Amino acid sequence: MLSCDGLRKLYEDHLAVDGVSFSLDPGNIGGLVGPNGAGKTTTMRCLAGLIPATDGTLQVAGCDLSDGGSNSLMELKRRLAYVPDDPPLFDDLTVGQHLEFIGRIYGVDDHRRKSTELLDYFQLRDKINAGATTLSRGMRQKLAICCAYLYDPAVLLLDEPMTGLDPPGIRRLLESIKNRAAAGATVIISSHLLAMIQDVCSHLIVMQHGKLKYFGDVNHLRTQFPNSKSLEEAYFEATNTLAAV
Amino acid sequence: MSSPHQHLTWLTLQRAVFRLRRAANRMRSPRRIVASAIALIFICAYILNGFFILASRSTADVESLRLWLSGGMVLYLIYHAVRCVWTDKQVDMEYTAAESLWLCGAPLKRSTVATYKVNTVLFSALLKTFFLVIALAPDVRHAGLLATGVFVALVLLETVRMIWQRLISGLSHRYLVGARVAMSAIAAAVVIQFFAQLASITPPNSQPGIYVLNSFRAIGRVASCDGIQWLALPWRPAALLATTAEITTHTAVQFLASVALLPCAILALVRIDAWAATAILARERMRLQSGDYFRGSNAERYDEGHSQDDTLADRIESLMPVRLRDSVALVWRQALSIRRYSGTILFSFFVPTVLCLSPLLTGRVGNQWAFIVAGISLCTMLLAPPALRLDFRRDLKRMLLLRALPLRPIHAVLGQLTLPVLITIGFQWTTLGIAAMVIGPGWSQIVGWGGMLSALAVFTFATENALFLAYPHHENAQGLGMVVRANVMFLGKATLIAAAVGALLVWVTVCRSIFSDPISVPVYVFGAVAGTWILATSALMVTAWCWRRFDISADLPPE
Repeated sequence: MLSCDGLRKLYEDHLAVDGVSFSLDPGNIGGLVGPNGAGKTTTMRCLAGLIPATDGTLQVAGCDLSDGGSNSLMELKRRLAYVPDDPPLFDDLTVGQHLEFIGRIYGVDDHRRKSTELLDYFQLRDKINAGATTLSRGMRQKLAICCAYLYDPAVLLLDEPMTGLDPPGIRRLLESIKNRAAAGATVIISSHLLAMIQDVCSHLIVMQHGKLKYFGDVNHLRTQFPNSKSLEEAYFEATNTLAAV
Repeated sequence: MSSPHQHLTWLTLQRAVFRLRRAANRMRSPRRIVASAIALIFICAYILNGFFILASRSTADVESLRLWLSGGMVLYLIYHAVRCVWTDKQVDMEYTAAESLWLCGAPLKRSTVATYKVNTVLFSALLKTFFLVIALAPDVRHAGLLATGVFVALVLLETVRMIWQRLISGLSHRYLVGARVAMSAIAAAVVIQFFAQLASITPPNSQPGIYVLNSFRAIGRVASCDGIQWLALPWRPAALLATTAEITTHTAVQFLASVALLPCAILALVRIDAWAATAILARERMRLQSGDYFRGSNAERYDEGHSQDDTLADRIESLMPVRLRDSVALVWRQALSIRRYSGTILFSFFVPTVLCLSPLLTGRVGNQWAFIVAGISLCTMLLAPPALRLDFRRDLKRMLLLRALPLRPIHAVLGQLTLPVLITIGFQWTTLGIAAMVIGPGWSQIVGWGGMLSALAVFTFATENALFLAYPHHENAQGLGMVVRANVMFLGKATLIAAAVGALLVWVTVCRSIFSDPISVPVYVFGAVAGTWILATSALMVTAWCWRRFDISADLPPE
């Protein structure tokens, strides 16, 4: 469960997010889309508790972030996984050690078996002893996703997760997202690759200039623009129409 | 059930083991074999020097050493505190990007992560302790207690530095201005105290060399003064422990007191960190409510600034020779940075200018010019490179981008080095000009030293960048490699200065023996200037070669 009401975030003198409100239930997959600089990453970081919201109420995975309490934040971090765009890794740990560390910190039972399964799934098994600096962009992305999946979070926030992934990696990622949502997780994917996420997302969150332009069911967006053959076309029509208003 | 601290200790150990293995592999790499050899020779020489030469020197007074250790920490802290208040943007606890994501994003208390961060300074503190103990061991009876005391004092120093940094990040603009005024006043008081002590311990009309030698005693006296010692109270137990003559129950108390201060400092860090986060958020909310933020499109802001930058670029292009027009973009980029940091750069050169001109106050006419020139040379070689880190040394993360530019290596080098060198030459000629107006040393001295010092500026920046391109390092890198690098660079520069002075004396002697008096002066002046410029030009060529040789797949250092 994820609910965001009137979220606003001010950086110095720049209002990055201005009054964004939406909510997703367990099992929903939200596609967070918008032009560059729309405030998508800031929204995700606020939802992940990495940066405090300047205003608004946030309820994520049963935790109320509005009071800023450290207990709520700790509990949220146990239940949420955030994978940023181009995730930074520890240069001085191997692939296996990254998963070992996450398994220990999150208290994951049998984390070594789960790590092996995840590495097999994302085809990283032969890199288990490789240092993070030796990994390609896509491999680093896969490792960060493995670390996020290891502790089975109730909420998954993925910022441009497909960037750098090879086609099999993209397919496996999307399948895994569907499986996790089916198991009850709430997922938000921020991506510019609308054609890739259209079959996965149940809801669409469209942002522009820090404001929410559209939130709703993906099918509802299509019925609003019946001439659009794809989600991408509907998105362009929606943003052009709304921009013209 | 294991605690988060255990997991973070595991993380620290794994990272340390990885780094040691990686360092060993890098040292054995053929591209770094020369640097590795120099580092090993230096360490061996340092240890042997410590055991055989330093051990036979006359020992320092224990009480003075104690006051130096505690007071010295405070002086260092004042320097960092002043730097911190004048820095525009504070980095959150100096976390790396990976630590910010995986540790701050994990279900760990901020206090736990802060403790982990303090642990990461242990290794660099250990290294500094190693080097200090070798130098100071002859002055104490118990080297083990010396090592413990120094180590604890250094860790406490780093923790207090982080506390101060976090405190500053939480201040509003009004209080930040107040902090800047207060810290600048304290720094000015320390500097005035230094000069006052120097004047009091140096007999009047002494040679400038005596003033230079007494400056270390003057710093010691500043460190020992009551004001500094009151501030140094937290370091007193560690200083007492380090200089223990007889092991008694007091020693145990001093040990417990010095070690107990560390968790107290970490607790203070955690509290101040929480306060800073709350203060920053409260200010954000106030600003949001008051509507005091930019509402227009970023394009408007971009257009305004962009047109000014275009004018600057045109001006630079018009000033540069046609053959070097390729380098305009790089020079323009340097100019933007210099414009942004102009205040810091001016201040960085104001103090050395004043120090270089201080021999004018000694009242002796004979040697003043020599000491002023020596001061300018030292400032050029030692202070200018860190103050003007605007060349390749700040572009480690952008090497791929620089490599992709359609520039010949020499043009890239000239583009990166032109403005830092010109600023240094500006400092030199300003100082020389003021000194010349007071002393009136004659045209040969002014032309000769003006020309040679300019060449020294070119040589210094070219060499710094050549070494950086041959053995790159991150800006805030710490560790054995950096300690060795700093010491080897310092020794190298000192040797260079000595060799240069020797060569100059030889050249003057040769000229005077071959040519008669009216002719010998212009010969040795212009010959010396030409010789130094040939060296400087060669250094530029070497830098260009190093840039051509630079391999982004092999030479970029790990984080």
